[in-house]
Amino acid sequence: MNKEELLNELSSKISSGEISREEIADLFGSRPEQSSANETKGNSHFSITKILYILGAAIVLIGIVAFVSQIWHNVGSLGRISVTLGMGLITTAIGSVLLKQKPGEYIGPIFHFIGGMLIPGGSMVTLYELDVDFSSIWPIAITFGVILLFYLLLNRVHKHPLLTFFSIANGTAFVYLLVEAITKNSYIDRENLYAYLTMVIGGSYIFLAYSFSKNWNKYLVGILCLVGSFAFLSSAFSRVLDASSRRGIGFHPWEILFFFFVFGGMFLSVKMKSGWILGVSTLFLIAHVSYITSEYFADSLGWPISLVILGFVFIGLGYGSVTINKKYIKGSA
Amino acid sequence: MKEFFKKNLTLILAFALPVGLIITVTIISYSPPATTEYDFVYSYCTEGINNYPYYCEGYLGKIYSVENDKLSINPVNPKQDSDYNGVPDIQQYTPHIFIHDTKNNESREISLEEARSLKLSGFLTSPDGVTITSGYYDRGIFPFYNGSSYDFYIIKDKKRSKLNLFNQNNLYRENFNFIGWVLSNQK
Repeated sequence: MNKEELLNELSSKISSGEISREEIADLFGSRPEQSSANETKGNSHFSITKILYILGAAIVLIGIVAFVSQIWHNVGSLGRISVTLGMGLITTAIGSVLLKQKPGEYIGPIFHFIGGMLIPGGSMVTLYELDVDFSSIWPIAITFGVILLFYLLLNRVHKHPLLTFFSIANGTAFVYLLVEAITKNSYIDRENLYAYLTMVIGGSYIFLAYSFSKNWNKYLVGILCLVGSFAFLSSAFSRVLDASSRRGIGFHPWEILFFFFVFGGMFLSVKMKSGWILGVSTLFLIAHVSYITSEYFADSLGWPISLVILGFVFIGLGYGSVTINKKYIKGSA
Repeated sequence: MKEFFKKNLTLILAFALPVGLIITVTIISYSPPATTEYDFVYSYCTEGINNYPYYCEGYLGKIYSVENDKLSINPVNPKQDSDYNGVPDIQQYTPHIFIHDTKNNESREISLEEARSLKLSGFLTSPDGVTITSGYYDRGIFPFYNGSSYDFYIIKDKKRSKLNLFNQNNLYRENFNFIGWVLSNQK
């Protein structure tokens, strides 16, 4: 490996997060002494570049969608597949080439982003143009399974968080579609099924976030924690609300269980040092306390006193959440 | 191997959870469907002068019933107009009788004489505990919806099987009438 290849490889590893500048400096016994002004200038340069890249990508996508809708009725099947799936595959290929040639830069991921947004829609267009019967969900599920495999393979080659993101997104769609295809003619209650499935997906996201926290996917930890905790707790809360209509005397098990979920979420937020999980858990705890108050105490205590108690509970929970964040999450990070 | 599992435990769990749920759901969904030993007889409207046989169910329910284990034809008021469109039902609707073979899941039209020769049970539930249900079911999942369909099922306990009735795509609650379970030719 010559000097240029070595530097390019190092730059790529730093950009993807596999290794940090401090670790390299530690290797040689010194830390980089950069003036804060230069670093700030460098960071703002990156921010402006990033913004321009993202803006450009968004405008390209809007332009593609507008262009395709304009010419839709004037082109045949091949034309429609070309401008959707074809363009998606081409931009993905360009992104892969750029990732290899310019590993530390954002230009490759931007093309991958455009491709990732076009490929699923393009695949649906392809299925439609091939006269696939949409009364069965199996073709769509299998298509998303293929897209998932595609991104997993691509990710294995490039090891980039954006490709991991598309793998997770397409994988999630695949799981939902597969469950729908399997249960189409069964008598399983749909509402419960999708609530439990969303809880499982939320749990998976949290596990992924924990697993990614120390590798090149660490940039996805925040969003996985946010979406995962929200998915889990919102689905569980939907079971609480559903149970309220069938409640007999006394508390329903879901109403008790949900307290364990939210306090578990708060504990997990400390363990994973995630402000997102803490915030979502606190919000759902507030929602649950409000629900319990309205179900069990509003009629006996009256709404005015219930509201006063609820208000103090909100203040207490908010204060507690901020304290946990300061002391255990940001404090020990 | 042990080292691999220890190092990647959370990653393995992240995949294991949805896979486990899919396996569970598959086992439940593909467990033996609802079956019955008994065929059943039903009536269905085609249009007379009405292109869409709306409110036909009421008319069919009045004509056909089961009395003393036999199909009974009841007189209908010739002026009866269920949909209040000024045209009597007797002119609007043309009823047909079908027998559904539940083993092969297929229907065939039968004559009134053949229907009258059968021994029927007028209960909604068959002697082996099966009933017929129907309803609108979305085709697809958000955002991949492809309309909805009105389907009929036999259900028993938590199991169900979709019925393949005559002219399934044009069969609705309004132009379908269950008459009775066939007792005389049980398998």
